[in-house]
Amino acid sequence: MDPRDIIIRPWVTEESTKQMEQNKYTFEVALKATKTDIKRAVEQIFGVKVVKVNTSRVPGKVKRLGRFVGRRPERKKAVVQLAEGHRIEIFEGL
Amino acid sequence: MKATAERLENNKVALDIEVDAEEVDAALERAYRKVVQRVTIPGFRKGKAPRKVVEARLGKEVLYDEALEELVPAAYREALDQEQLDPIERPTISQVEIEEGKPLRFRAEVTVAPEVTLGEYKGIRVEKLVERVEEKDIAHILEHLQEDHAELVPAERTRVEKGDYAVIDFEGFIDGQPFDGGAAKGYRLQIGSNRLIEGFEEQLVGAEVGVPTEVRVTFPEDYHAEHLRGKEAVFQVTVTSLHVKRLPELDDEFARDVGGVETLDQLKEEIRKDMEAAAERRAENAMRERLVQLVRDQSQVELPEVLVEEELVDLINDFARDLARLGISLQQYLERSGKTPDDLRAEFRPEAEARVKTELVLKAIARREGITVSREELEAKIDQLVAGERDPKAARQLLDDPDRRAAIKTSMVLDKTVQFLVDHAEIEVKEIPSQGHGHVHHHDHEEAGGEEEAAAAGGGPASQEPAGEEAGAPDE
Repeated sequence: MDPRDIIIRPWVTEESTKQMEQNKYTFEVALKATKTDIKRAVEQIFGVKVVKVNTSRVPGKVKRLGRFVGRRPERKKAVVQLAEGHRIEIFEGL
Repeated sequence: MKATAERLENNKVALDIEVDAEEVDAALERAYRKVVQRVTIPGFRKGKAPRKVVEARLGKEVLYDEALEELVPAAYREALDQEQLDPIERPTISQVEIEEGKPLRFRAEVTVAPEVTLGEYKGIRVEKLVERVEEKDIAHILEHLQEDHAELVPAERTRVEKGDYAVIDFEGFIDGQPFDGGAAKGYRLQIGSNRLIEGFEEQLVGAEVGVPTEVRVTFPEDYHAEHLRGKEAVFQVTVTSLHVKRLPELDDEFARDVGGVETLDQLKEEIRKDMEAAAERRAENAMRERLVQLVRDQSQVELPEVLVEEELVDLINDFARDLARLGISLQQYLERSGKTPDDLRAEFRPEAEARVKTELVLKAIARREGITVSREELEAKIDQLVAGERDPKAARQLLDDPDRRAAIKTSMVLDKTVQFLVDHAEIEVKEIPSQGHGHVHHHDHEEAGGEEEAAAAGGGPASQEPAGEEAGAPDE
């Protein structure tokens, strides 16, 4: 799998911004991606050394439009711990 | 802040202003703090988004704009101080360059007060004309006081005379039919007060108490109730009681009631003092006005059109407000008097020019004589202004605006300058005969009296509401 298909976008929230102080970067990743996939992908794209990856599945919110109940897509979140001294500069936050 | 001034023609000045990079960055930081409080960014609670995220989402320009709002006016004001300029309009700001980490540059163009050629302003001879308070003025006031404290007593006559206070029952008919609001009982009326339609009161003169009288009137064409306009009506009127006004005796007891003093002589003395104080105030104000006018006329200045224009607008607004108090709109006034807005402007123009010139001349004198208002004086004045307001907090906030503060300061400087002129003038005090300002003193009494009468009179015959309810029962 192409690394850019694994890492979808940065996950910018108050929590994730705070964790950046501990050199932890958060991404939305492909649902099928494994921790190993993610580690390899991040290292390849950003040229950094990854120490640890924590993932979690974030269920989509239930939304309703009138009587129709829908669900937003499930997403996978990966918190990537970088080795000391490594940084990702381009967190532009969109 | 660095600024260079360049004089252009027509009293214009161009200021090139530069603000240090550190100040810019500090302002940007403050701008971020302000902006972040009012935007919501997904993933962050309100006010918690980091600066980078805010910049990426909203663009740096938002912060720049916010920072400029703070930086430009402050720097501009500072530049004015540094260059000792006296602007007379809002500046035109152009060529703004702002970037993080770099100095802010911009150009401000503004028209400044023109050069004033001052004439003589020290040692001006001016007369102060103080009106003498004479016995007849005091007597006049006493008469008014008597009127105000008059009592209604039952009349000894039974025939109505002009000036009597009558209580009447009436019922009106048009073509033999009673009409809406045409009847009342216990209606109080002063004969000759012209509260009712023309002819009504006059026809009651000579009527006998308790004997029904017929009154024939025609409703005027401009009567407020439309269905009655121009109609002839017959009223059956019965005077149920008759009172006359009795003026109190001018004696010590009167003095006690009215003025809270022991004797009539003391009351007269009080009145004299009040009148003399009022005359003194009038004389002082007139003298000051005259003095300022003399100084102004001896000076020369080219009047900037912007200022005259502003003053004209102010004057016309004031005039419109006065009209509004009389219940007329400016539009209506123009229609009635057949004037165009341009006529009005032409009428007010001399006054506007005089005011502008006065201000420019006084400011020029203040500058030459070093008349200034210190920060403490300004604060004291603002405290004083705020204390007089009903909502001190709101007033304080309003007055904290730099523009307002500047305006207050200017008016203080002008006041001080007038005082300076007075201190250096040769004032000749003269007594002149009284000008009949006697009314001023007890004016409030008269007003109150008038309102009471109006209230008692209520609606006339044919008022839309049932008149009897308003009129009420006779007094005694």
